[in-house]
Amino acid sequence: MSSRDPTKLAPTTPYRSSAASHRTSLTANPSTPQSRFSTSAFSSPGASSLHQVDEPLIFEFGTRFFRAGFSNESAPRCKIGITPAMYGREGLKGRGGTRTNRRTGEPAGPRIRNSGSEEWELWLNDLRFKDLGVVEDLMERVLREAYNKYLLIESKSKRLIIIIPPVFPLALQNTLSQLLFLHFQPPTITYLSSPVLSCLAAGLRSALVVDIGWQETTITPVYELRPLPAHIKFSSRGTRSLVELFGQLLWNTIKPEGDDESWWRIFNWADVEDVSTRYGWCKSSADAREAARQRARQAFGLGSDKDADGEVNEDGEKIRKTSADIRAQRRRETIEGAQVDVTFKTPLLRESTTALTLPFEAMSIAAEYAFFLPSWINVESFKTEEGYIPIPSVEDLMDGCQSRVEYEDESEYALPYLVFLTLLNCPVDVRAVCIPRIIITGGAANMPGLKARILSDLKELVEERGGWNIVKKRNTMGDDRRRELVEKKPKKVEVELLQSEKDDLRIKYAKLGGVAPGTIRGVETMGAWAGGSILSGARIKGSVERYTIYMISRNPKWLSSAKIIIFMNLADTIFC
Amino acid sequence: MDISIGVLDCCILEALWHSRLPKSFNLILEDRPQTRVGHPTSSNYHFTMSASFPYIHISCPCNEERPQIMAVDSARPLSPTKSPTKRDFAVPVPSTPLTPVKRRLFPGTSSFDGTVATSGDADGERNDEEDDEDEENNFDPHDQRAAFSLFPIENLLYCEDCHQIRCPRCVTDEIVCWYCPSCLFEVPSSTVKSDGNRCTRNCYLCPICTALLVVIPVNHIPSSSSAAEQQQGPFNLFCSHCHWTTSDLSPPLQLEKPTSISAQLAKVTPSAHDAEFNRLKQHYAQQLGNAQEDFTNSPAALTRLMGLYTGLGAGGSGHAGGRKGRGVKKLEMKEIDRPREVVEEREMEIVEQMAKLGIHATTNTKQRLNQPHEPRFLSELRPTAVLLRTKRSKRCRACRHILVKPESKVQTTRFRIRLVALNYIPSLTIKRLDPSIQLSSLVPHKTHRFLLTVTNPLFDPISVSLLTPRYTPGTDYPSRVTILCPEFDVGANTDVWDDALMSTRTPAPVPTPPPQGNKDPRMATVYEQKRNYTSVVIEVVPAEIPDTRVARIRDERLLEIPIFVRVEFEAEVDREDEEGGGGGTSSTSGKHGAPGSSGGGGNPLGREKVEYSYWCVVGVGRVGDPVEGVVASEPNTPVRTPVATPVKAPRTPGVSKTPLRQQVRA
Repeated sequence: MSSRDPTKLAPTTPYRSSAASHRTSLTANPSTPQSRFSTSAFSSPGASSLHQVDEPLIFEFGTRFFRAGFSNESAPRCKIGITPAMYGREGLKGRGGTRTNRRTGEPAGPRIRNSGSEEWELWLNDLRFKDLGVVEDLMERVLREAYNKYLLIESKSKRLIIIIPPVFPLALQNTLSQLLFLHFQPPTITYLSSPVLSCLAAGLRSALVVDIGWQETTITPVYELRPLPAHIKFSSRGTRSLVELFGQLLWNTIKPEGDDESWWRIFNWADVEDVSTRYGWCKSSADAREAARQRARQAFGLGSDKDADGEVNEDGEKIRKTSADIRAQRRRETIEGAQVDVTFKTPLLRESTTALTLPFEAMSIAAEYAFFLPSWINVESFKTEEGYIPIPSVEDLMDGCQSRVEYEDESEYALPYLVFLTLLNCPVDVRAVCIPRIIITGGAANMPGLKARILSDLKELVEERGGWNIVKKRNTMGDDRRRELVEKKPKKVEVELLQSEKDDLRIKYAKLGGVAPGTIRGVETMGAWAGGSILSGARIKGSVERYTIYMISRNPKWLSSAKIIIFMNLADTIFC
Repeated sequence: MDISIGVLDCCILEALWHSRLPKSFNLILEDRPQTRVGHPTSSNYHFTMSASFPYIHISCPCNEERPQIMAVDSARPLSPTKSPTKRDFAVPVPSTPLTPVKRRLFPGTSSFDGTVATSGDADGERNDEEDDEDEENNFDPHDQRAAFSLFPIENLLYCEDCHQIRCPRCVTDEIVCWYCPSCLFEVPSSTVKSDGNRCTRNCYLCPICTALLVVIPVNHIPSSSSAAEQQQGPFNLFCSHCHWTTSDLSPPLQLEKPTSISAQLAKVTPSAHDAEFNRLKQHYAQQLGNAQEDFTNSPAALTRLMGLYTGLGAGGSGHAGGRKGRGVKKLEMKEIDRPREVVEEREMEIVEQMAKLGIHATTNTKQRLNQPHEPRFLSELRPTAVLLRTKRSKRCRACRHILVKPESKVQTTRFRIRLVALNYIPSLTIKRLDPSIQLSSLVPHKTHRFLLTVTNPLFDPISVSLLTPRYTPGTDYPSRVTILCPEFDVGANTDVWDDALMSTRTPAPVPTPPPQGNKDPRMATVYEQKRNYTSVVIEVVPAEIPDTRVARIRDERLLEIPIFVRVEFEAEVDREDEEGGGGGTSSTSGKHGAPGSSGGGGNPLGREKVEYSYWCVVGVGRVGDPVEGVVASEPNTPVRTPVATPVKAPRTPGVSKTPLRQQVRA
């Protein structure tokens, strides 16, 4: 007992720089007291620390939600969302006496960033302004609630498996480990990386995991259950930006002229988040493209041609409608006719609640702004007459700026383009495996239509770019023409042969239950938590954990908050 | 949480029972309705703070013991090539405790008087330049972390062995029993986990409004009186609050029997998620089963192992290659057959359904989070079984002594051990001396006088010293605070009847209260002294604070005064000596026979000086807008006592006996 005396937790260096190839015990934090399980990892591969009689608890530390539960269960026992009240004092309901409401003067709280979202978050990657002590206190509070209210178990008896994002600030992980060993004293803590578990929960071994998290979207290629940290890409477009845009759009809708108040002062983040998860949806790729085309027509002063030649193809023939088309048409009509009634508490306005009736179609606009449109487009409102997205100027269209995703800031690429870039940068083998296995998970992925939209936009992008060439072709038409002139046309027999070879390949893949290479396919996952549950319930023998620590600084803005990537190599764990 | 409420209730009850409730406590209870001056218009909004002014929160000392974690240094640019140093991460910095003195002194170390005398003398000569240093040590109630260490006294425990306040964070919990809060049925620990921490009897909650569901027949006719008729046919779960029934689900959910609901529900509500989860689990189990079998038992694995040791290597020799290849092939893992693909059609169908059913058919965040698989539509909700609750005993994390131990029987609310801080540390209360003071809008530059009452729960007289920063810390607009008599004694919490019954005893030495005629509260003596409480005057001169509410920063106008309370008393060293001593602190929990029944004739060798201290925060009120005519140079500002650090109060001779003054209700 004395060796694990929590009060004698030695403050050691927060990380070891030489840990890249260092085999440590299961506990990721080097400062943790060496528990009785640690030796087994060194001595014999047969005795595993993952193979234990009692099953561990699985915690997932998201930015917005904390999930906890037991292994071998399909869903976490509790999901705790962070609210401002959690930052408050016990005994004082509300925000603990330090925050203020503009009108009533009721206490609110310290505000660090100015979008008001930080009090709905447990932690952030950007630690510059974050008091780690507060994060620690809050984590402690959340954990205590989970243990005492939902798990109903003594914290000392259970091992922990903690699922963290692939890029997690080292300082935070250090804090978390210290906090756990001090207050809750679990026997061991195992950190697992979330994309691998998402991959596992989809039943795959390799995948491109697109995690649309709260603060950012992380795209991680996973190959044979090994994440490839060098190829991770990030975008600041996350679930938070979706909620932010919802709030912005709502406020623009009801804003009186000249009021420059920010939306988060008017609405409650929770209310807006509720609206976005309940009613938010995402247009299909075809519809969005059609809308963009109409906008372009209007920019040039042409009227809408929706009804005129929608059903006629270039040759002037009527396109025969398939049943899917008819169904889509009917759906479009249903959506067009639908209305949404939302009510918000708006204590800062004259009325304490504001009721709005919005077209259902408008609810898809926030996703459009948040994930697909370039960030320089002005955010309109839900009540705009001419569509919900501003009509681009002719110059923009001629310049091509409007539609060119690559002119975006590097941290703000639209999601389909970022997926494309990630795949493009991957090694060829990895790319070949990952293209038919794209997993989209995370908070916003539950929005209906979003997953399909990202995938079909990606498909289109690849077609437009003409495959996976790093060098973008400038003049595809000219290229085709030149090829026609230069290249020798294969004989007809050869073409047939090639075709039959391709067919053979396709049949072969179909037989294997896979898909042909190059087919973009999305796979549903049950989420990282379920993956952890499966993994810990599998009673794996012979685990060898290897920690790889990479320091990366990916955004000049965030240079000071260096990140740690910790991967327990699951591939080794299961398949050694 | 439920336990702590229970603790409080029991405390009050017990205090009433033993008639040891100090009078001031009564007064506070009376005072409450007057001081409730909230903002009625905004009470429905979540910004609302439920406690009204004034309030007192006590900071648990664990706040100071924790290492201060340094956040990333943002001011220092970090070159991308240079690897970050230790400074860039959270490193525990050896921290100096916030308290100006050592918290607990044992006999033999420097005495209370000495410390104060020296510091008092020194502080008397100090001037403003020393204030900066002072501020470093001050407790800042505006600090974000302070919110996590400040508690109402009712939430705190006290460890007798450490002589330390213990907040909910400084204790480790041990579960005594599990029970359903709805049917009060105790659940044995072996089945708790397998039941999902939920009641497996008939306690179900409405998934929409979380009210308790009742079982009624589907063809429910309220008028029909015959019981037999009512017990017919399929049953519904019905919410009597929002009238939700399980028939509203799609497909409608109806039970055959009115009992054993859990078993029936489990049968009729298969979940697609669970099916998928089981499919995955089975897949991996199968794969792993193959692998493990191969690895441990099969001859292929054996040859491979042998090959390793004989140095044949993985490349393999000729004749073993075939077999080895087979073995390896078998070990190779496959991905699951037909993984669920993302289908646009399916997703758009959900959208169509959303558009068709309208908004009120979707679940809100709270409803969704309560369900295991986060359903989107109300029709997919399932009744949720009641979460179990626990009775927990609590141990001090430092010394492992039990602080709270409830009776294991579910129905009783009694405790075997319960060391609540209310019984150990003097409780502070504050009230207005002048009833015209509006706590929600204090007038800037005007001197507000409050009465700070220290009530002693111990059976020993204590001497208290209160320290407060001269100006409230942590704000750009500090208000001036003066405690007029910062050091005083508080009498022992003897039985009310003691004085009456034991007339032969000399009453406990009581310092002289001010003479009857002197009504001026601006004096350096105590304002009022009764059996076990003492009141002193605290003067607050709020600064003129601009309304920062528009500027979106924190509420500068909230006036919270941190006060450092230091308590010193003599207590029994050995608990076994109690018969001689009587009324020692260790017996104050009230469990022991008749504390205070004998006089203070204990063995003087068996007593030790106990001293402890803590910060508390007094939420006085909010500063209002400046009032015309009250300006900064108001002569009303107190000048009498040196501020910032209290000087040693003139100790009134303990023997002088004065009639107790009637309490002045302002």
